[in-house]
Amino acid sequence: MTSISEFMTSDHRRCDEFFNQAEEAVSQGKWDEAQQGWSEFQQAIEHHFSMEEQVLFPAFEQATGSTAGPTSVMRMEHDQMRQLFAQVGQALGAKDADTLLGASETLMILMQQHNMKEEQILYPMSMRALPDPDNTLNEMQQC
Amino acid sequence: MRTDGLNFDNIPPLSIPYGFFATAPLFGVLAGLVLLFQPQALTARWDPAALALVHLLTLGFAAQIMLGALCQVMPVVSSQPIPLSRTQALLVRGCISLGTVLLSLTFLFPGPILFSLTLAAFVIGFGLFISRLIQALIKIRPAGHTLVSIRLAAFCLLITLIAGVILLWWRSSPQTAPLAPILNTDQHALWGIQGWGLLLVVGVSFQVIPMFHVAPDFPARVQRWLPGALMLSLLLGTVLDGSAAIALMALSKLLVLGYCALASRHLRQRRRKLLDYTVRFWQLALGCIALSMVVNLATLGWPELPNRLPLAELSAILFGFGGLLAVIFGMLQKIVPFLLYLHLQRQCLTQPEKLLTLPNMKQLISTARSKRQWWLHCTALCGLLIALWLPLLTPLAALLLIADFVWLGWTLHQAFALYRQHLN
Repeated sequence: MTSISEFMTSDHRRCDEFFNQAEEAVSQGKWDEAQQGWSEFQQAIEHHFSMEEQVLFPAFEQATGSTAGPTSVMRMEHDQMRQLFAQVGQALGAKDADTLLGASETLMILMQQHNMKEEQILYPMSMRALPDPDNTLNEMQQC
Repeated sequence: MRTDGLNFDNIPPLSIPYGFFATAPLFGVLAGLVLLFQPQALTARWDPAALALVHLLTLGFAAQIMLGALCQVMPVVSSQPIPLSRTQALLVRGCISLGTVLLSLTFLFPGPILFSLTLAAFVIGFGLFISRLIQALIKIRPAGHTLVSIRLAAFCLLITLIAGVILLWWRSSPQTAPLAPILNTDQHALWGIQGWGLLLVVGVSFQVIPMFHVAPDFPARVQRWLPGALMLSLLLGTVLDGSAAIALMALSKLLVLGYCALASRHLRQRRRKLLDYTVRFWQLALGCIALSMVVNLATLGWPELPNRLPLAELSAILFGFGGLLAVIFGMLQKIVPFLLYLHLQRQCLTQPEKLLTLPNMKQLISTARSKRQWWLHCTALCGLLIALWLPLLTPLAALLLIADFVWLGWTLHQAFALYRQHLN
């Protein structure tokens, strides 16, 4: 059976793929394609955030008895990324490729270092801390 | 489960990594000046100026950047920051900078006083940093593959420094040297460059190539075994003698060649195909490191070759300037703007209206600036390689080297100025 770590890591890669398609379409001036890629990315990543913010993080906080630990930093980083989504969205509306690619580069690095913390530390730690990780994963998949 | 030891948010104050990054290019310029006024340094490897040149680049430039980057990367890959306060980081930076200048002077004017001062500066600077790094590294369990590489690299740095101190002791004040050199000069260089330098590059590449460029992950088996195998072949190649040592050294070169081929393939398979000068710096570095390994293998197979051709110098320029320094230049194009953005964003969290006006990474260091850096680095590399055969051109190569580092320093300064402007 898939673990939380494997499932969420592969979901990160799925989001990267949409992000990539949107960014590449912008660099080639294909704005319609970019718009479609970007909305697919936003849907995918917001779904990913919901699985974490609504199921995984509360379960982790309950199991460890702490809401001020790593999950609060992860939530803050989600908000930081959402601010960059807004900037990219604005630039997409204005068809401003330079601003968009600058903001998307920033978002990409922010997102990747966030993913690295989750994949290397938080997910493995959740699987050890949660009383029934398979059940939590099930709930996340139904989110 | 305890989570209070996790410091996800504990990114070091900007002044710690940025301080190292901003100081380092000055040593590159100093190295260029040494080459400009002492052009024989390029081909006469035992010349005091050549030793000064090499250490200005390796300790003054490369090591300082690597220490700064480690301060930044440790909390991200392990959640364990290096427990170094602002003042301690300043002390480390000051002592390593001073030590590097004193070391260069010790090569030029050997004597017990300069040597003692150099030793004191390095013991404080590196001693403090390495002890704090070890403190962070032993807390981390289980260690990921990048951390294994960082641990092995830190061990190689320690061996290189101890061996270097003993060698310098023998050179400056042989009558007071407490013990015989544990490594000869070639081995000291090998542990520094192929141990500390390369292991760090290998470990970092496992993380950053897939991460920044959306490339496939390196095979788990390679990530697990390569750093250890490199380290082991280096260790056995040092302690054994004769044909066994040569065979192990050849094996380590072949492993590095294999790594370069694999990393290049992963870069080619990246799905993020936008124009990116960090990718170009990586490609240049992997190509140069591979070429340098071919030169080393040729030297192992035909030991009389270096009598006819400047192969040791060729390999050193390819590996050091074309390889390790290119990785550093490329990584700085991403790390620095990200770092500045991250700190700006954190300071604006309470003022959302300010967030929309923050400069993005490409405004902090533009693609045009990175492009110029790439061309300057390639041109300086070509200049150095040509000057090996046409020594008359060495001053020109030195000027190109200076231009490369001045541009880097200026770029970092401009990015920081923009950061300051938005901070107010």
